Amino acid sequence: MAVINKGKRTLAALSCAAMSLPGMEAKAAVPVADPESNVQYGYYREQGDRMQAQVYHSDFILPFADRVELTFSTDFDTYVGATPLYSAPKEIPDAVSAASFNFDAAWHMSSFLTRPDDLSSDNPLATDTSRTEVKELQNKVATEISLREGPNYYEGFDSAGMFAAFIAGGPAGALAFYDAFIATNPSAKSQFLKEEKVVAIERFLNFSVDPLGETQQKMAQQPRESRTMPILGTNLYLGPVTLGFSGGFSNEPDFNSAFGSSHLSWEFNNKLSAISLGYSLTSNDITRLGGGHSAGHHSGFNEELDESSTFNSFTGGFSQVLSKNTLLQLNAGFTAQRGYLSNPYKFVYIRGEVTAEEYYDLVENTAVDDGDWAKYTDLEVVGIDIFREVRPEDRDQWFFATQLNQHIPALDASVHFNYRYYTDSWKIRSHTFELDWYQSLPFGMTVTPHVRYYSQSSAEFFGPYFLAPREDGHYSSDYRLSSYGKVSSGLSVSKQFAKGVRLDAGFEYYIHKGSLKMGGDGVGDYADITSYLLNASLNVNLSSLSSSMGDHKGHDMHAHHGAHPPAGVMAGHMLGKAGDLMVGYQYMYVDKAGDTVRGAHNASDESIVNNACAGKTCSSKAREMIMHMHMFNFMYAPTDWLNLMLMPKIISMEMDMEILPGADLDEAHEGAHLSEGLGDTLMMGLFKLYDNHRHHLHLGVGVSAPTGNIDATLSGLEGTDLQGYGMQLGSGTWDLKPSLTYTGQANSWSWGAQANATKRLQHRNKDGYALGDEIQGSVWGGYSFFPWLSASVRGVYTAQGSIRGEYDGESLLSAPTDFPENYGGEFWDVGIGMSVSPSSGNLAGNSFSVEWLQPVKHDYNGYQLEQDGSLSVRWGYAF
Amino acid sequence: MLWFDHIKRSCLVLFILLSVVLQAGCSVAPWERGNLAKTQMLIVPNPNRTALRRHVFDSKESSNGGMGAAGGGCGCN
Repeated sequence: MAVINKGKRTLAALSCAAMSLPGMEAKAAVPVADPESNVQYGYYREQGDRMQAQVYHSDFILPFADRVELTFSTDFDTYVGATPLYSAPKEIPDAVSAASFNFDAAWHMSSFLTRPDDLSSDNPLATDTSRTEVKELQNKVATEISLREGPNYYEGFDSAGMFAAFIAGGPAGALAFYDAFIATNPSAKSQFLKEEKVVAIERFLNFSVDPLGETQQKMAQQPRESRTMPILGTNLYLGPVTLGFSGGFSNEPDFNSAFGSSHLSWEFNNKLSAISLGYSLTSNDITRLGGGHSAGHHSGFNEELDESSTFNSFTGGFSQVLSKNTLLQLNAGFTAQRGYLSNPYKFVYIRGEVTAEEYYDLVENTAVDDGDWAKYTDLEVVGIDIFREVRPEDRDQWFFATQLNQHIPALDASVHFNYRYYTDSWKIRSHTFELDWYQSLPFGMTVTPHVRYYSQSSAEFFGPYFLAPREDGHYSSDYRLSSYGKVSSGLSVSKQFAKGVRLDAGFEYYIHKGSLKMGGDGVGDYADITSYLLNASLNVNLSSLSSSMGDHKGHDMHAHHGAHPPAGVMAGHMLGKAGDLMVGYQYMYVDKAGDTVRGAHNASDESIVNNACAGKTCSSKAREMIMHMHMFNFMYAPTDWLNLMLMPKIISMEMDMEILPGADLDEAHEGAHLSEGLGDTLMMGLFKLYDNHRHHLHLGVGVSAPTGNIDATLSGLEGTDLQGYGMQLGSGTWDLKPSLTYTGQANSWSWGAQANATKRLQHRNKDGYALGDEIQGSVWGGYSFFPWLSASVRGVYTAQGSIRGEYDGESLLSAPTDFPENYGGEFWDVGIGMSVSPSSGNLAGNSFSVEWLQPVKHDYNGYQLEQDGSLSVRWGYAF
Repeated sequence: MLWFDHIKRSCLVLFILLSVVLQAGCSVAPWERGNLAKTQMLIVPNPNRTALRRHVFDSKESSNGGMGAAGGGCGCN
């Protein structure tokens, strides 16, 4: 840079600094200098027993080359709770609503139409209240018609004989003849059976509709489900132009989505203006096995589904610096959605789609199965007058948004105002207003109160219920397509710590009401709901860190920590210096498959059936169990002799059951069972006892908090039969976890040993049992082929007690996994591992290790599925 | 055609705004941009929180777009 005098030099330097500062985009138009990482926890909850969701997010941004950065993020959600199924003008008796998981509309309708007298008293329907109502209704109609028709009422009635009796004996003679006919022909059928039934159906259906009544929402419990969404991306910085690409997928039991996006932004006009363009493509597969919501235990209810949809989305934006304190952004976008856009779990109530005559026809033409409905309606029938919703197969969406950021120097605050107008081809129009006040406070704090108002008009095919069929055949009663307004407000707090660590926490409360719609013509109050969102996140920005620590980065920090112990060793490594921080991630995979073992030997099915279920006969056994455990590790060294460690974890388990020969099918369960979510959280202190660079000894004192759910049920629905003990996500008790670790090294060799234990601090957890205590010893040796690459061999001995106590809740008690004595044992394993930890270059500070643990001799308590082995993968970054 | 009208209208609005703001913004010199560079002046100061809220709004409201952050899937009931 040409420099003429000192004044200008200062100006030039300032200009350069300012030019390199983050501009108008969410990210600075320069790649990150060092890795950056975020973890976030979110909790969303609706009022009452409605939906609650937990969202775990983590991401990393890594510099890859001068102009390239890589991004990686994963999201893991679990959600459960009641959700609206449909709404109707009156509460419809349970037996005729589709809320029952065993609902079969055709079967129900035919059972209603069986002549009441033909139903034997031991038929369970005889005591069904809603059926009793229908029976009464039908009896009433029959009485009415028989009064109207007199002697003609009965088929084969001898009218001429009755006339003769009248001639001979007058009215009394005729009545006697009539009574004698009834007495001698108890099964005589009405000639007016069709009319009788059609009128009864008609009246029954009318009875279900009360146009003046309040709309009732029918809810369904949704089993616990989870979603995993990994996304990979890259950003290329080419001077004024930044190119971004990302792709990922989202997996749910019944909804798989793959997406890719590209983004371009171009800064010009001395970085005062920027244009951005984006395109994204999303492809969705909506699948469902017949039966319950996810693979499981419910029959009927859902037809098999295999549909897809594709979204093409285009966005364009322009942002402009208006003054040194003002920034404006304008955005517009278009999305074309094509394919299956309905929600397969939402129903609609439609009167007249199938008429009373058609219901009668269906029942009389006997063979009642799902296929028969096609004669009367194109919709999928899920209940009487209840159908699965159908939305159009295309939807064009537009939005126009603007954001104005105004900085107020006197208060060191910024105000963001945001407005969005949205419209789509389903005739939904919405307005969104948002105001955020970012207030800087001393000590690196920022407090942000915010308010938001949202108002939408309804989709043209929306109705709380439909009293007549629609011509276009599109229907939805999903309250999210109704006209309503929503007000929310919240507060978020952010605290910036030294060393590039930032903590954020926020709360937001939502009020969704039909009456809050702009202009006032919102839907009724039956769907009003309140909810809230909590979030907490940790951001670790190593760019700030390296600038605050000067030349600290890249120094040979590992030489004096000793080589890393094998990946499967927990708390085997300490940070070397006061002030050091480490973030890490550890993944563990455990596979149990194949034979059920008793002690150290395979057990036959016969032996399992007779002996593995505590005196009962076993009806199922596990065929395979797979566990994925994701552990997130945060370590901090307040002094050089103490490390504090926090390790939350997420667990995902799947167990595949099979039915044993000769099993009692009422109790047996087969197929895959899932259990996913947050596990127990470990908090630990590591105390350095001795360290002379060659030999190192430390003591770990840990406490495991029972944050893992121990109420996982077979169906996923709360309050139903619990899964086996091993499928629960936590111990349910506070546990003490002490450990003593020794490591040593000389030249290229390293070695170590650890003894650790798990002691349950409570006698029983809330479900009436406690997992067994555990002790473990392991010894390892390693050799470094290069300064950055080493291999290890480890021997491990583990002894685990069986479970004490037993479930006091509902459990099927039909498989070995349901019994406390079939847990624990003595295990000998050998581990083979590799470790990579560069001490210089771009990746310095990172360590990466992997270990496979192979069973050598296992002596199981009771009957258990044999373990094939386990894999541990560990990544850590110390700074 | 509805969507064509939308494009026409939005292009016109954008063009007018563009010419206004381009003129307005010329005066901010690089060394006057300290306030603009603050985190609180970013369009999206906290991308993770924004993504979480977007996920909630996308699954509970019928409008989408205009809030940044990519993703897919449902995660709803």
